[in-house]
Amino acid sequence: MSFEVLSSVLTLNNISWIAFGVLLGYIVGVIPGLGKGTAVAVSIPITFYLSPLTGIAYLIGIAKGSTAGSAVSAILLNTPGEPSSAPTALDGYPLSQKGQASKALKMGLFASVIGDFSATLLLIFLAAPLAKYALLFGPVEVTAILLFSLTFIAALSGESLIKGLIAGLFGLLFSTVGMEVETATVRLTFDILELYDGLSLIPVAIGMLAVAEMLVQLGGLEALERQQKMLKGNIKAINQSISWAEWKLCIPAIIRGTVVGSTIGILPGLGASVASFLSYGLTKKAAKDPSRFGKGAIEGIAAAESADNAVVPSSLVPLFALGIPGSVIAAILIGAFIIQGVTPGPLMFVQQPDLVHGIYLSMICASLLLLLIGYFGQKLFSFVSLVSLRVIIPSVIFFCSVGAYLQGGGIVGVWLILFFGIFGYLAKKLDFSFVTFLIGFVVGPQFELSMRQAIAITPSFDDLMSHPIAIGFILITIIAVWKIGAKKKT
Amino acid sequence: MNIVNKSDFIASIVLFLTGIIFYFIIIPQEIILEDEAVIGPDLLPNICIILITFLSVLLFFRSINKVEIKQTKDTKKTDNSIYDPSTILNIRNGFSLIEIKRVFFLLLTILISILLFVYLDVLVASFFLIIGSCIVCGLRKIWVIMTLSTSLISLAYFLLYKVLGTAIG
Repeated sequence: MSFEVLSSVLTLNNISWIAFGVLLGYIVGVIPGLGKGTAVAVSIPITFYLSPLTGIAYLIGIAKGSTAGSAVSAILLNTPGEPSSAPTALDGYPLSQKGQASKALKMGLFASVIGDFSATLLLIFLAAPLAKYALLFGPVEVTAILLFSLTFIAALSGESLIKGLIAGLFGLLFSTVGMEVETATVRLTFDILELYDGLSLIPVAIGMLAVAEMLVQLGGLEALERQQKMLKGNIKAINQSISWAEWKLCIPAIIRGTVVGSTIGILPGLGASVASFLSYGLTKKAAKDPSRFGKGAIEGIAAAESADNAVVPSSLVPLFALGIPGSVIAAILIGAFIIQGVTPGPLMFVQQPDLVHGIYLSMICASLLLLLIGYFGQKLFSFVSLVSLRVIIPSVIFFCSVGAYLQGGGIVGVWLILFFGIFGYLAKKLDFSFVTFLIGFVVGPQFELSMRQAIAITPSFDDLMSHPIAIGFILITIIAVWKIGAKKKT
Repeated sequence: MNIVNKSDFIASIVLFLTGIIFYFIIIPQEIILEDEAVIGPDLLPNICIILITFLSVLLFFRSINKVEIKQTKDTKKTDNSIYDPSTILNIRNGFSLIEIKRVFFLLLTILISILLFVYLDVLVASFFLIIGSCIVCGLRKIWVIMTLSTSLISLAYFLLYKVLGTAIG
């Protein structure tokens, strides 16, 4: 890492934006219903006015802060800020009821930071070697890999394989709106001039993630308020410390959680919820007395939070190495990269190595800032979880509209968030995976381009036989869909 | 005909009709092919729509005659309910009347604020959006609504116009 990289990362401006991102993310994470996807999507327009490094580091800071912050409401309210913190609530809330909320919150934070930091190191050591291999892939291989990623994500997201595939196909379909680059044919624009450049990711992501989530939350206002009333008695005695005996119980759980979270994060589509539940389950299985779990076992929190937070950095491995987003955050980050004129993928390591190293260093800074901000602000953040959604929803809707206006082509952007807000709301309520939709939408242009090139260079089946890697991925796709589809059926 | 999953049943019909409309009306009208290209610009949209239509048919049949599978699935869901955060929040499944009303009025608020922005003024549209959303969410205290709307608009102005130098409004 060169001195230039160090000096560009360790500036007051850059560190301040990372700290602001972590702080904002932590606060958003604490508030039930506002996930990291919402926070990152709404914040993208701001990054347009920052340097590429600062903008991306700021967004990653939000994602990291939000993942860690969601444990606070899980522990205090029994209402996870994000689905992936649900296993944290299983032991965190009973501890909180026993008057040990502080201990639970501290362990949640330490496990989060350790998981996140370790997975960041994994990203640093794994992405570059993988990218070297990815540079050898041609359009046939890229098409096969994208096909595999999309179907795999569709198969694993939600309860139904059919619905997952439909969502992914809609994502691909919407990505074709606008002018087709090869033939300059205008597609599906309905004569709206602003759509000739295609649908911008920002209003689509804001609509699908933030607006849709706010619409869903409208139905649960009263239920959440009941939980908040119960919480008021739990925010006290924030000065408890974790004993050495408790650390001895938690260290193996944190290591296990980090390994599980990092592995699952690399695989596209599985997501943080799978990681945290799997890690929690494995820790419970390995425990001498599994009956303690669900009643306030502190290692349950350590297992879930370390895995949950390890997913964020490791899910960037396929994005950095192959240019393929494996998670919602990675999909939204592609939008941020493109705004900054950077194409994420293997070429990034060759063309902009300083930026990549700068992002790595910023991610490490974000981990350290997460520890500081989380530790010193814990009591304050606990009170944030008392803020009513009746105030949060209007605020989010307002900033969504402003963001979409700024980066979505003016007032058309606001129309788009309205359309995709309704679309996303229905998708969420009817269990059509919005994750698959967004990833389909993001990879759509690349998929279409590589598919056209692949068809041109492999017109017959015999030509395809000279691409064993592509055939391998196609076979894995068929087997994965077959197996997962059959499993979901039963 | 035994409808097991009503929402999937309706969704499959809507998706099937969408597929048909796209394939026969929208795509031919909205993607005009200039010449006889081997790989036309309508290839991917057509592939997507054909597959969506096909999958909607599969979804239709799954929603009407899988009584036993549905029961197994329900049992499984009950067993794992503690692990499902949506069960904890109890908001994600089903549509309640109050929720539909709130969603409708919030969308209407956004729609009217867009029209106010286009035909009147950015400030009026902003105030209407925030105040309208507050009322839809059940906020009734005037001072809370006024403080919130004034602070949000001031914050947006300060952050976006003064700090980041964007052109708003």
